[in-house]
Amino acid sequence: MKQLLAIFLIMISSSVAMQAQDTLNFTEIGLNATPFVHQYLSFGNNDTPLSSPYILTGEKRCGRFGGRVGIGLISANDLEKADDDNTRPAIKTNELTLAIRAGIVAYKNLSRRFSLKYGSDLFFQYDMTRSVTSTTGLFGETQKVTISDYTYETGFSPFLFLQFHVTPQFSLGTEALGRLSVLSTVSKEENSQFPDFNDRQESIGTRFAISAPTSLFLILRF
Amino acid sequence: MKNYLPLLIVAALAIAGMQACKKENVTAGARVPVLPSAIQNYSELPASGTFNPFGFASISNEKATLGRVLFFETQLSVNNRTSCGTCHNQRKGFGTHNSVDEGFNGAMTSRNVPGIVNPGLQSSYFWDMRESNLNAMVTQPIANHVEMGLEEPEYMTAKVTALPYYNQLFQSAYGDENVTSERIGEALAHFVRSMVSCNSKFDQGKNSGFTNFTEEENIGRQLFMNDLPCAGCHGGDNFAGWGSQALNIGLEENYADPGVPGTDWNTGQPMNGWFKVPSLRNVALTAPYMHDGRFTSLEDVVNFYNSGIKAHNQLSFNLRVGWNGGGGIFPEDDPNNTNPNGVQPLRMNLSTVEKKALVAFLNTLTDESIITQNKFSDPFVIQPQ
Repeated sequence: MKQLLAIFLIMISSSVAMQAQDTLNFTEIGLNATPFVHQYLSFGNNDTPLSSPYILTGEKRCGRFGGRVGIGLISANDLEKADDDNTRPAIKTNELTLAIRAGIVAYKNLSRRFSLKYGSDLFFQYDMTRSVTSTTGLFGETQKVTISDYTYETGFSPFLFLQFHVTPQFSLGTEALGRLSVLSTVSKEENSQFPDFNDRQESIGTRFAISAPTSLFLILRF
Repeated sequence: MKNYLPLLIVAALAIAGMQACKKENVTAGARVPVLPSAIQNYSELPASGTFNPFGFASISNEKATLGRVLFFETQLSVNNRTSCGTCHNQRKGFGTHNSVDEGFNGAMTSRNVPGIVNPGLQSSYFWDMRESNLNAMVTQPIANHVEMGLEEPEYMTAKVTALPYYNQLFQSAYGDENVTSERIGEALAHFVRSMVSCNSKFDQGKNSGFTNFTEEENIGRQLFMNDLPCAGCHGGDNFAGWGSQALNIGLEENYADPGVPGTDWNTGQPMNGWFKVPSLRNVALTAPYMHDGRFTSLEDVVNFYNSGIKAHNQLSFNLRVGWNGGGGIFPEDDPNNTNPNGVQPLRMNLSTVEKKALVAFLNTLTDESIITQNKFSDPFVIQPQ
C-alpha cells in the first residue's frame, strides 16, 4: 500500500496542473494496473491477491447518475518441482478467476483533482483452484491425483471509488469494495488408482467482506 | 471510443493469459524402500545411558522396521507428496526449521511441528495434549485434512495394501500380510518410540560429575538446575517434567490459539494459552521455538524468559514474582507485587554472560546419534526406469 501511495504521489508532483472536467456526460474505460505494479515495481511480496478482480472496467455517466460494468479474467499456473532429495513429487497448480459486474454510480467532486464515485454492483464470480500430482507406480503405472475447488459467488457489491484526475482525459483510481453474497463451493479429490475413495463435497454459504482500496486503475475518459 | 474498445479488450485478455500454461513432464518416479538385509536393532541403548528412554514399552525391531518405511511413505497422503518424515526431518531432530509447515496441498499447519525425542517418556502428545495413546497419535496427522489428508482409515489401508513391498514387512512384523490401521499405528509407534536421546554431552557428564563441561556450560547448568525456575517445568530425564504437562508461559496477554481445552483451576475461566511443555533434549536442532514457532533462536527464547514474560492471569506460578521470590503461596499475597491484576511476571535480570551460559548448557542436550543413524533415515530411493 505504501508503495502504491508513493507512485501516486510521484504522479501528483509531476503532473501538469489541470482541472478535472465537470462534464455530466462521459464514458470511461479503466484498466486494473495492480498486477503490473506488482510485477515491474516489486517492493517485496508479489503474492498479494488482487483486492479487485476486475481487469477491465467501463462506465457511462448520464447526468447525476451513471452505469458501470467490469470484467476480470485472472489465470495463474505454477509448477513446484520435486525437492532435491526426491522426497516430494512435483505439484502443478492452476488458478482461475472470472468476475463480472454491473451497477449504478453516483458522483461527488471532492476538489479540483479528486472525485468520488459510490454505488452498488451486482456481481458474479467464479473461482477455480486445481492441483495435480502425478507419480509412477512400481509397475510403471501412473497415479494421478487431482484436488480441485470450484466456487460460484453472486451478490451485491457496494463500492467507493476514489479518482485522481491527472489530465482531463487520464486519471488514476482505487476502490474499496463491500461484498454481500451467496456462494456455492464444490471440492473434489480424485485419485486415478483409487476411484472408490474419490470425494466430492458441496456447500452453500453467505459472505460479508470488505476489500481495502489497494488496487490501482488507469482510466481514460472519452 | 469505438476504435479503442476492441483493442483494450484484447490487451486485457492477453495480459490475463500472460502466465500461459507450460507443458512439462512432472510425473515423479516410483519410490521404493531399500533396507539392509539384516534387521536393524531399534531396542539397544548406549552403555552410558542413565535412564530408560523407552518408558514402560518394549520395542520390536520388526515392527520398528515396518514403522520406518511407513514413516517415510509419501503414499500415506492424499496426493502422494507428504510423509511423516516430510515435516519431521531427521537432520532437524525430527522437527522442522519452519514456524509452521505446508501440508499435502499447500495449506499451512496451525502450529509448529515439534521435534520427536523420547516419546516413550511422554504421557500426552500434540501441543494441546489431546492424545495420550502413542499408537493413536501417530495416525492422526495422516488423517488430518491439512497435513496428509487420508481422512478415511480404509483409504489409508487400501493405499498401503496396494504397495507390494509391504507384504514382507507386515509378514515379518505380524506373521501375516494383513494391513490394518491399528497395525499401521502400532508399527509407526514402535519406530517413533525408538527415537531416543540419552547419550548427549549432558548424559555423559552425569556419570563424570560434569568434568566434560566447559566453565560456561557449568554456569548455565547451575542457572538452569538451581538458580532459575527452568527445571521446575523442564525437569526430569526428558527435560519436560514427569510425563507431560501443559502451562501458560506468558507469551501473550490473550492468546488467539487457546491451546489445551479446559478450565483453569485458579481463575475458574476457560484455559487460555496453555501448551504442552516440550522436551529440551535436542532443542538446539529444532528451531524455531514455541507452539507457533515465533522464536528463531535459543537466544531469543532466553531473552523472552529473561524479560519478556507477559502478565497473563493464567501465567504459570513458576514464572510469577512471589512464587519464586519467596513471597507466599499465592503471588497475589506478595506485598512487592505491584501489578493491578494480581500477576507480576518474573524478571530474571540475567547478564549477557549468564544468557550465553544458558544457551551453552542447552546445547549440551544435543544427541547427534538421532540425526546420524542410518536406521532412522529415509529408506526410499527412486526406482530406476
